[in-house]
Amino acid sequence: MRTDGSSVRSDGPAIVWLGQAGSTEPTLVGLKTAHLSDLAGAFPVPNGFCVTTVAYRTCRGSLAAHPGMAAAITDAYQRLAQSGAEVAVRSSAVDEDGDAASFAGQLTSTLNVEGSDAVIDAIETTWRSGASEAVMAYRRSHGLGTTPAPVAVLVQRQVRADSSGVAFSIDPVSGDHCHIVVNATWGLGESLVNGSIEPDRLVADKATLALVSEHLGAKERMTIPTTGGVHDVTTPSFLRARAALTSVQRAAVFTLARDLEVRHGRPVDVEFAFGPDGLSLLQCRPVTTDARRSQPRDHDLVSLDLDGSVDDTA
Amino acid sequence: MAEHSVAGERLPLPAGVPAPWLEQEDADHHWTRDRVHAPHQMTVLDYDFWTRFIDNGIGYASRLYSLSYHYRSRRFWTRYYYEETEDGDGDHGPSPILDTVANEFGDRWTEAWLPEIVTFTDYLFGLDLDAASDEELVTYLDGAVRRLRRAWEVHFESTFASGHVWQRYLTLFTELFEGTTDRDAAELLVGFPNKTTAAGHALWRLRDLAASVPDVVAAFRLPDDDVLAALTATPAAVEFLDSFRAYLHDYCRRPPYVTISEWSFAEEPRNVFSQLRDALNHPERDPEQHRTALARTRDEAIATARTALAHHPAPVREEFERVLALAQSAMRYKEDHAFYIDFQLTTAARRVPVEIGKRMAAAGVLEAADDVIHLSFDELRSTLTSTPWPDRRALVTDRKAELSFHASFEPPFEVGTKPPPDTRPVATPTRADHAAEPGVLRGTPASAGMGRGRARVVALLDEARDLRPGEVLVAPSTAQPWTPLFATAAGLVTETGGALSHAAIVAREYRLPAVTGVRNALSSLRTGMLIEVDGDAGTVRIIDEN
Repeated sequence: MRTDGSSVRSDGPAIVWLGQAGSTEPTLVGLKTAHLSDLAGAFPVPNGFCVTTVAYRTCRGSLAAHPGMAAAITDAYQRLAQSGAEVAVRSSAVDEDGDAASFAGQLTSTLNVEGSDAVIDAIETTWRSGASEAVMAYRRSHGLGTTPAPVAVLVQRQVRADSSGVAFSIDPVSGDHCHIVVNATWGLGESLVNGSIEPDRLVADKATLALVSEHLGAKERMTIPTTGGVHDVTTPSFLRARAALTSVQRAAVFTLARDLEVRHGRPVDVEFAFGPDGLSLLQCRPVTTDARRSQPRDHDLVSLDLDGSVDDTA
Repeated sequence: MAEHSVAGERLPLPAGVPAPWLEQEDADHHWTRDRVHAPHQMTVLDYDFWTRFIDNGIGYASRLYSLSYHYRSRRFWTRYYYEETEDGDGDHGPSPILDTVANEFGDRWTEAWLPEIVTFTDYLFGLDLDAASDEELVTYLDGAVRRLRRAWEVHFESTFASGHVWQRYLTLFTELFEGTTDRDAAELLVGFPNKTTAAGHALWRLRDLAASVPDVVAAFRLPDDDVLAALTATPAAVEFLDSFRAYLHDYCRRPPYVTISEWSFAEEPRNVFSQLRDALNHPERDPEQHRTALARTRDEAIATARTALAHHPAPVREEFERVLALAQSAMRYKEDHAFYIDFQLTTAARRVPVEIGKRMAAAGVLEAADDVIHLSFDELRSTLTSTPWPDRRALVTDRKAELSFHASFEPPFEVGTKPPPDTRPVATPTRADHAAEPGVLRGTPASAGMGRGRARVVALLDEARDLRPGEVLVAPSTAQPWTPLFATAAGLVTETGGALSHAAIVAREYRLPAVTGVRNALSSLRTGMLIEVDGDAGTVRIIDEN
């Protein structure tokens, strides 16, 4: 599914729902949505709709002059909001989460958005981030060309996460293919993904899914939804001392990582969350770290470098 | 502990009185006078009561919970001094039993501890002492001692667990809501019914009844000594007198502080007269209205907290609800355990020595029945079991002389050998951190607001009857029986206690500006001075010395 900024579509729907026709077409919905939609039938992906690259090109960064498009987004949002008013508005560029580069954290996503006006604002923000200086610099350094790639936007039900984490179906540091490595913390996954806390670290044997090692992290802060976004708060000490995942939840995550690797036929990097409805799969992408070039390190002592997991810049 | 004599600082002894040491080794230890719970001189019977029951209860609970905590006491200069020590390297933490007990705190109190205490109280109030033979009296004395000993074990088993609950609640609250204090946390706990508020309501119902009968109102205009006679002589006061006796029975069978030597309020109801008079003069102080307002504030504070936590992970919300409910139980317990154990049970047990005193006086081995408070439990028992009864009059004379010798002497707050400064980090700044300002005393901010008025400096509850509306009450500490005074005062200053002491909690319930833990308040302030209490800053300012 390797694509680049030159992939352009000029026809197709402005909005498609996960699992529907067209929702796995990367040039229409971006790679993230295409991946998730492909998995939506078999895995617990939160429901949502995609504002496609067709809408992106029609509107050119603003919905103000396109009342019909804005109304269609509002309708879709209201349909989604029947199962909870808060949504996550996530970037899904056609070359984001690709094999060569993840764009992890480069494009803007907005969590816990409520109300159709706020959703429209968040969609416009994500569109504009595709042409930001930071993204242009990232593109240049990865040899991806300097034409901004079309940005689709995925609007998904916001998971009320009690705990969250990231699972790698290989050890991304040592490159060990026998292990599944999981980092987990309380609340939403942002504090973990942006590297500001020490998460719990779990290692499982990929063949048996048995726990190999566990290290309870300090989980100093946790990300909590707030009005129109998220913020970090200090984790209360009783919760810091407690593992973020129960043994049943751990087993579910190990299974998820293994099954996704089997399905893709290659190592994957999975973001997940546990909320009132149980496990949700938030993201799944190929492991972009080239472990063979990394120095093997004692992974009991280091946290995964999750925000800059691209190191093949040479 | 052994190092104290090597590295510690020997405190100077006051001039003009003999050194108080019972054994020479005492001088090597650090003794603090307990002005909170034992502000007065202690009789021999009281000190025996404290060591046998209270000190034993503390030791029992420390062992039960594997605390690295040691406690012992001495009677120096007729005052109660204690030493608390912790094992230097005993950082093993408390036993998991403490967590288990704390987790079921409210249920334990209502279903196990309190029923046990009530069986003791019922037994002791139910004894037919007049009809008892001397042999039976010995049995009753042994029965009282056994029950008191167990009751104070229950007292500290429950109190230590409630302390653990407090700690958990305050830690969680201040972690979850950054920038808040213990006082904010306490807002969520107030306004629930307990034995103290029940006493307040019962007094108010009595007040309403009194106000409806002009002859009763007239009787209360008479001097204390004439009130009861006037009421008894008034036919219209029959219903009031019945209710008054019921009130004494339900709420006044307790001493003014933890003592088995003093009359209970029910035996000496003049304190109740002054409370009723005050209530008659201030019909606007209906405690029910006050409690309703408090409950509203509390419910708002709880709702605000719940909203703030709405998006937190489920374990946080669950823990908050669990610990909040425990803390609310602990708040109720704080008032109720004192009512049942510290006060009511002591009054029930007091019946036995009082009866023994009567018989000893009748037999001529005591001058007066009241003198029984100068003998220990063992001396009472050995009197009853000896033939003939030994004459205790000379012994009592010596002990009374010892009390009067020390009566006007204000013993030091601490004696012995002060341990070297603790090198472990101290979490809270000490008072020495505040720059001294002339005319300003500092303590712990205990109840918010500014209160200005003339000081009423009182060492004993009896003197507090002189408190006039609008005056600031200045006291060593305030136990439960002081509470009705809070409705009259414009502010409160105590020498001991912190933000969670009894005085602080009740002052907040009364919206009474209060500063606790003001050292030397009684010696620095005089009745009649105009002072200003700042319950937010924790300061007491002298506005006018005259």
